[in-house]
Amino acid sequence: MDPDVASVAIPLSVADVERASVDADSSPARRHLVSALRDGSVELPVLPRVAHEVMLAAQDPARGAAEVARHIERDPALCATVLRSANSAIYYTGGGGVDIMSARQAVARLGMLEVASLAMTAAVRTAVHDKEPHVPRLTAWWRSSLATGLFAKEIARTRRQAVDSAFLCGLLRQLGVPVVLRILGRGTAPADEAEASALLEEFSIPAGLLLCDGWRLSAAVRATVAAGSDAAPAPTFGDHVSTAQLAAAFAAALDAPESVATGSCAPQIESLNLYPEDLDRIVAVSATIARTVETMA
Amino acid sequence: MSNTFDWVVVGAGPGGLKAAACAAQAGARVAVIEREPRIGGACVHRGTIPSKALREAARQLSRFFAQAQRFHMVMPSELQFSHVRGRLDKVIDSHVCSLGDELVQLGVTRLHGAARFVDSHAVEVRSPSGLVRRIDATKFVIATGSRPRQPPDIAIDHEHILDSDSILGLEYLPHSMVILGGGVIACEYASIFATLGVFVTIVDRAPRPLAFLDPDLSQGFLDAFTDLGGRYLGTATVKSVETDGISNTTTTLTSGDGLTAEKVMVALGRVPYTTGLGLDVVGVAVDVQGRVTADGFGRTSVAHVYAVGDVVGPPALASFSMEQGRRAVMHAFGRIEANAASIVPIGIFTIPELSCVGESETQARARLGDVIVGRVDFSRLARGQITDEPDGFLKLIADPTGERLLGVGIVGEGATELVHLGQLVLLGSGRVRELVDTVFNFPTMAEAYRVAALDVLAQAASRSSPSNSANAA
Repeated sequence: MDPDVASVAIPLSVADVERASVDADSSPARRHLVSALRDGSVELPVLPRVAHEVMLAAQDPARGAAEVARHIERDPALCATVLRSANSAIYYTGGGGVDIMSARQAVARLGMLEVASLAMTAAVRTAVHDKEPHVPRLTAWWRSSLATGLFAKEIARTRRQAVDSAFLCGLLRQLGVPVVLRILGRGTAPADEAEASALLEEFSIPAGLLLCDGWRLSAAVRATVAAGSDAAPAPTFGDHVSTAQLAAAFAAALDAPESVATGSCAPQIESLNLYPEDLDRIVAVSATIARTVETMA
Repeated sequence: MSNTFDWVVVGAGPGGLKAAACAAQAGARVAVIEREPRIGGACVHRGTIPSKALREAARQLSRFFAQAQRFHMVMPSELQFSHVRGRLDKVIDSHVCSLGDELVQLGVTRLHGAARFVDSHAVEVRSPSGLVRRIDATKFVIATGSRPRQPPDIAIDHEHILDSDSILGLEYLPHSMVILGGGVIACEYASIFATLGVFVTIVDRAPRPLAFLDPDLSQGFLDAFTDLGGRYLGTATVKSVETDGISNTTTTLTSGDGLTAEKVMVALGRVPYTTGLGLDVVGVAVDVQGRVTADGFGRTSVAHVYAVGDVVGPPALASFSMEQGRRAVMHAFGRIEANAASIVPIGIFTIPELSCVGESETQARARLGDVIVGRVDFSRLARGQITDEPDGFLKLIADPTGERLLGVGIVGEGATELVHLGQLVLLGSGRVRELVDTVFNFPTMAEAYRVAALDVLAQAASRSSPSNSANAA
């Protein structure tokens, strides 16, 4: 097993972080954040409930590794960590090696127990403790990411497109958020909520891209992270990007999913060629998705 | 933009586009309405073109791996399906662009949206954003195509249990796959995935795959498929298909046997796409399977409404749909042409390819009795040896005198191209001797026609020789 599964030195390669200005006037939190990103030692935090469930499932033969895999698929941090580990040199197979692009593929390729073991290690090493300052934000991010992944899956299903990669793009769309929160939680705290939000706004995408590059996440995930909420047509993987963005809109409107059809998502709906009856179908599964998120939270 | 046209074609697949082009060439004002943002239909985006592009990629990879082995090079043990699929988008973009250019040149108006008849001479076009526009026309062509049939007892989730649309969205190649169905789509994908190293099992009720072909043709597919590590389970009925939600599916047969595989592909036929068309409003009749009822000219139960392509049912071939589109428009312009359907070739892009035109051996024997079949194995041809593709054969089906060509059947790489020579003879003189008297390039696979024709003539001569007559007496 990879002995250093959770603490990863990420090569400094994203221009946004390079260019991030830090001067004497910068706040301590900003200086700390930029410095940590440039140093490249970051972790993806796993929420306590998920970590607990993974450990229980992994230790109980009656529940089986399949349940571990389900938990992995439902937690963005775990999912990304397992992908990164599965793609590490130790699991490199054959002469050319093959990128593992989804948690299911990791399970199929490495075996349930091996993946469960990877996940458990990640969970133990990075579990967020309740005393950490950003747990509420992390919890909100986690719920939103899970719901986005599940909606992305339904959108892809409606369009008879690749379900696996749509789910992953939705789930990992805001991968940079927990990275930034983790760094902020471990160093000098932002002055207030406004500064925390501003730093998140500025650094979430570059931090997510650093992870994508360093962890060899798929090009579709990278394109989705890079696009953020920008409705302009993505240069590559336009379908994946639009699917994830529309899914995020549904995830944000779990209480009133009908509003998405009449909201600001017209560019994504048009780009995905979704007719009203298609949107109705997606709205119809909203309650199920809400229940799933509730169960897992 | 005008809202009134001479012709409105609903559906921009092969049949619809051909009909639109023919009507526009005849000087009519034509509009094509397509539900998807891009023209081409399932043929271009989810069927014929993608599967053939994949097939080509699989063949190239297979050859590349074989060469690497020869030179002791180590290749990856697995492949990302997305890498194999790499060229697909480019191929589709290029084809869609070319189709679009043709429509522009012909002055055909394109409308994006879902069409629905609102009265006998008008449709309403609804865009995804909800904008509605009424379009009036004198004549209509329904060419809305088909979609994969979803059996009620199999839950296709497009994740573990896929259909022939969602199979193209696979991110990675599974180790194993069960394919339900033994028709063209099932066998084409089966041979592609088997070539890429996936352990493929085809399950079907029929005792042999591609049962509508002559037995020796379907056996040609089966032999090659088995050599690739695939297996065919015939006379089998599926009881249930289930998934563990992660990495395995279990297909249980009524015999009690269970098949475990990473993915299942359901290819149990296609159903016509008529949802929301409002056919009842205009009075167009459909049969019990939902197919629009149409005659050989595409005429439906309503005089000014034609229907072509998959929406009227088999054979669901792009080439056939195009011909139907052309014939429908020609009929409307008063040019009633003889039915050329019997000489439209069938091309099946398995590995190796299968193709036939005219009567099959089975059909010819049923009609004429002791027909003559001339055959040549590709291993006998210089070109077959040069290209290192000696597997396959060509057979000519001739009448009992050996004079008239009735049909052609081919197994082997290039079969879908090679069949056209036979098609031209069938459309022309129909004489077997023409294939002997014609000089072909050498060495080429076309030589197979000459060798098989010589075989026909030799058998005919043997039948008519005095010694044979005496023996018969």
